[in-house]
Amino acid sequence: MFRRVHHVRVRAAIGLGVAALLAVTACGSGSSGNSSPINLGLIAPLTGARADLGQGMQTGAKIALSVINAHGGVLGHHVNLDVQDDAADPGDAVPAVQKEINADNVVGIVGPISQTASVVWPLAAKANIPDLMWGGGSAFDQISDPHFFRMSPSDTEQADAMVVYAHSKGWTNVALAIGNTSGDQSLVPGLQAAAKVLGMTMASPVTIAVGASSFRSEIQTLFASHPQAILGQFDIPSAGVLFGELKQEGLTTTPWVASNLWFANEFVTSVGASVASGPIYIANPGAENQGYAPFLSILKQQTGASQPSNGQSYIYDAVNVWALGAQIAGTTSSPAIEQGIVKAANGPGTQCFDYVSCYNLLKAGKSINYEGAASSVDFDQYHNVYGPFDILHYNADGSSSSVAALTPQQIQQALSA
Amino acid sequence: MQPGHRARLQDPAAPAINQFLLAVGFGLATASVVALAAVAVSLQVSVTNFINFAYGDFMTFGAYIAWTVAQRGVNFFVAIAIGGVATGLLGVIANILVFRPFMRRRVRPVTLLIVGVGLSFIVQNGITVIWGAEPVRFQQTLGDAMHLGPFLLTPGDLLMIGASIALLVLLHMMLTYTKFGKALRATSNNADLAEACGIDSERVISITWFIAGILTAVAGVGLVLQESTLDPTTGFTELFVIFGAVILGGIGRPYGAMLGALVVGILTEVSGAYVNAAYKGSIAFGVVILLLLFRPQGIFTTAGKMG
Amino acid sequence: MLYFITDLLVLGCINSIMVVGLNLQYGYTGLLNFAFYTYVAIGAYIAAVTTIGPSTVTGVTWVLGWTLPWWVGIILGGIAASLLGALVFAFTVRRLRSDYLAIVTVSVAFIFWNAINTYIPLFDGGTGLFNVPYITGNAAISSEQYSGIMVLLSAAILALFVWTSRRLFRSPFGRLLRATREDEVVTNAFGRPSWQPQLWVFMIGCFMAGVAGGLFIFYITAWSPYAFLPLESFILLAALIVGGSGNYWGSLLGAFVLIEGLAELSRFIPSFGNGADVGAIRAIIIGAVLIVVLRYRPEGLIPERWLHWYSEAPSGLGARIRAIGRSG
Repeated sequence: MFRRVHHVRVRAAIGLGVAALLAVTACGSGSSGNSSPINLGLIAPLTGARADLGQGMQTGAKIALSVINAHGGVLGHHVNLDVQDDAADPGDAVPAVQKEINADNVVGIVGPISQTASVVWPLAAKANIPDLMWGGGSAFDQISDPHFFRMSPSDTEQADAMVVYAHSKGWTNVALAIGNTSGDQSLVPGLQAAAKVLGMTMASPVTIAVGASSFRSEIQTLFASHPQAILGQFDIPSAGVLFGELKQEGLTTTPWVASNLWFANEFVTSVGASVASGPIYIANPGAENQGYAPFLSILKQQTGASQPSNGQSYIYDAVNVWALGAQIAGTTSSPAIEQGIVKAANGPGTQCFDYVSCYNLLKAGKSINYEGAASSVDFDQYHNVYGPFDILHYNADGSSSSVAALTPQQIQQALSA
Repeated sequence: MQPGHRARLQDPAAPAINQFLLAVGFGLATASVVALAAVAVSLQVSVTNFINFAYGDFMTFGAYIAWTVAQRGVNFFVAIAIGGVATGLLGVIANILVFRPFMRRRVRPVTLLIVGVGLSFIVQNGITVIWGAEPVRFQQTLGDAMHLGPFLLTPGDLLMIGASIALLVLLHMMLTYTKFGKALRATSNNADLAEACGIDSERVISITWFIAGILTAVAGVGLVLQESTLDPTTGFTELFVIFGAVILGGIGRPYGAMLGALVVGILTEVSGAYVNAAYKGSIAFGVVILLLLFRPQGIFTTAGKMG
Repeated sequence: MLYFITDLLVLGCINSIMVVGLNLQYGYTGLLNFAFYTYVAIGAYIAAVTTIGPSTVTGVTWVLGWTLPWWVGIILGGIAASLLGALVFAFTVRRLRSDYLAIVTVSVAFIFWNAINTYIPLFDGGTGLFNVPYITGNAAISSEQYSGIMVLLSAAILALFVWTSRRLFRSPFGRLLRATREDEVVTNAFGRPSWQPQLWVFMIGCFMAGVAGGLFIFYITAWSPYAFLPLESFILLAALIVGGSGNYWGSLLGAFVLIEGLAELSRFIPSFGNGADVGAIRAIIIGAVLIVVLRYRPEGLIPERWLHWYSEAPSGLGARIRAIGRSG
């Protein structure tokens, strides 16, 4: 009698076990088939000197992934975001990457920013996974390793666009206001070179140091040469201080041509909408960014924010283009994934502006050309995003509109004339 | 646009003296903020004989409290007062929980400095946990800049200068005429002797921390008003400018600290007009080094701490 | 996972070298040096600019640009750091009481940081140096293999420095140092000028810092101002104090547990709430542990007395252990 019960019990146990196993494997993600989740790594400066960027990068990745996971994940796998802080410090970036690669087995990395990308992407390349970073440093202009991707145009290109636009408006006597972080400093050679080619008068750069409490002396120096416009890039909190002082001194009629660092909600809140809607022009990569509106609505839906923060759109694009690349390649492994990413971004194919529509096109067997939120996401031969540039201007309500557009050809033409 | 606006643009033909005076004016505005904090530090050092490394973070704390309260629509000045009281309490708690156990054991001043460093970690990162690492905007538009003689100052600057002067006058009256003020001066001169005369030096110290906290919070808000932006490191980055003022005036001498703040404030702004502005931050540090090396008793001193 | 641990070991050894160096300055000699990480940075920069040749990327500039072998670069980095340390020492240490010295050294650290960050032709300013080649040159090795090599190298150098530390501690020189630390006036009164041994030890400590910097840059392959914010010196000091100043086991403990353990193991905590929270809580823990240790166990977790007890006490358990050891 006991034995029979024992048998029943054992069979019941086995049955339960199998059922549990099936349940687990069938679970996976929502509507997907099989399960084991895969990890996508994010390296961002959540603390430290560039903590103003990290949060935005994280949110951008998260909102992109929740859309992706809600549509079956990547090739049926749920994608987990493995977030590691590098504090913009190369010494911290190395263990961060090592953890993601060796302990967490990530299949790809998004981020970091220029400050640490030069240590992160080689480690990713050695581990044979792609790294989609964000940042303008000129050190990344000509990297031939296929694992490397850059989601923003080079500072050289950014600088060219700014100078060409200023020149086109007849502002030939300009001043420079440049922050003292490496991302800011790396704009200067390009700005000066372009100004020289176009025969413009460009004053020596005035440094806008991060964390300073007052820039009144700097303002005096900036205006000493009676510039027709000021070109610049410096961190948004300092912009808040500086524009506050400009306003107090009645100097807000001089136009500014800035880099896309100021294309962020924080800029409008920092300097105030009335100042932001003054003569401030922002050279932002990506003509008419049709991917921007869908991105905003996803952002609003998921976080309630109606304006993006710095970094969100770039990392959002990075995650999207990686996922689409994986769908095209049929795998997350190299070298197919990198080729897939390029196909997703460059086409040729039907333009699509958010993950879901691109995904549906792929399912229908069509080729795509992803146009993103931060730029048109077209990679050149070195896997850098390159022009065209929108010249954006803030409206009184904090939204932005394009007042001009510069194609790469136009920029090249202007500079070779 | 008012007719006066055009006049504000820099006239290149103006003699260099004008640029110098403009910088001096900016320095006055900076100095008023530094003065409050420097006096707070000096007061506290005078009764406890060690330098609290966490002061910058107290400033940040006061500013965040004021900001949080102001966000809910509370009147700006009331918000500052609440921030002041909160920071005063923070100072008292820090004294009782953290510093006093060490002081009772009469450890070396350098140990207390390191304890201050630890406290700075805790306060600054506690602020990060509560309010996040991203900067927040804190701006009160009180009007545009006005030409006052050779200076170019905003109503906010004038408010800060006025508040500094008022508070410091109040402090002076307290120190000179009240019983507590006399007890404080006695304790700062010689704590043991004061105890022997029946003064409860620990109570004096606690109250001094509270007063210092209030001054620090107002200075913190003033700093944030000038910068229009606030993040967990705001106060800490000002710390050495404050130290420069404190040391210039003679460590532990509140009156000297006021003058020291004036000098440091003007010095940093004037030098910023003539050298690469990126090095402006180093000026304050350079001042600290030179002073400590060559004249640690300060520039204005003879003998005695509260003279 | 294994290679992540290897990575942690490399960083742990390098941090330990730093703390051992700091221990020479603060633990043995009582000199509080908040500019310590500046010497690490100088070591890193010099090691790089003497070995990687001139810049080939436009807009990226640095001084020197020699192409010496990597180990020469590391030694030069150490020497540069110790020379700089001597300079700073000569100007400051002899004149100041210790908390003022601390403030001066923080100021020195900041001024150097500002200068390096702003004056681009020196070490490429804020962008810093990058693409520093592996010490194995062009050999095609994986990053995991390189980690393994670096563990061996840095552990070897750490062992060498610990041994040096020990010799110094045991020597008459070391006794003089400790006497000076305890009471400088008396030592001077006995006719032994206190600043000469202090200077030598300070320079050796800076040399160790410089070497650590060289190892660091060859392991990470990059260096920038964000890698040596003045804050880092505070953390090293906290590690030393908590671990136990005045002895090298304490230094190791402090480096591995407080710096490496806390920092890197917290990577396993999933990021919650505000992304900065994990790092912030970590810093709060460091501050709180520092204060608690200073209050209740100021000599650190591994006190100096242990070593003394073990090595020098004439009677008691330590002596019996030594006797057993001698007799085999």
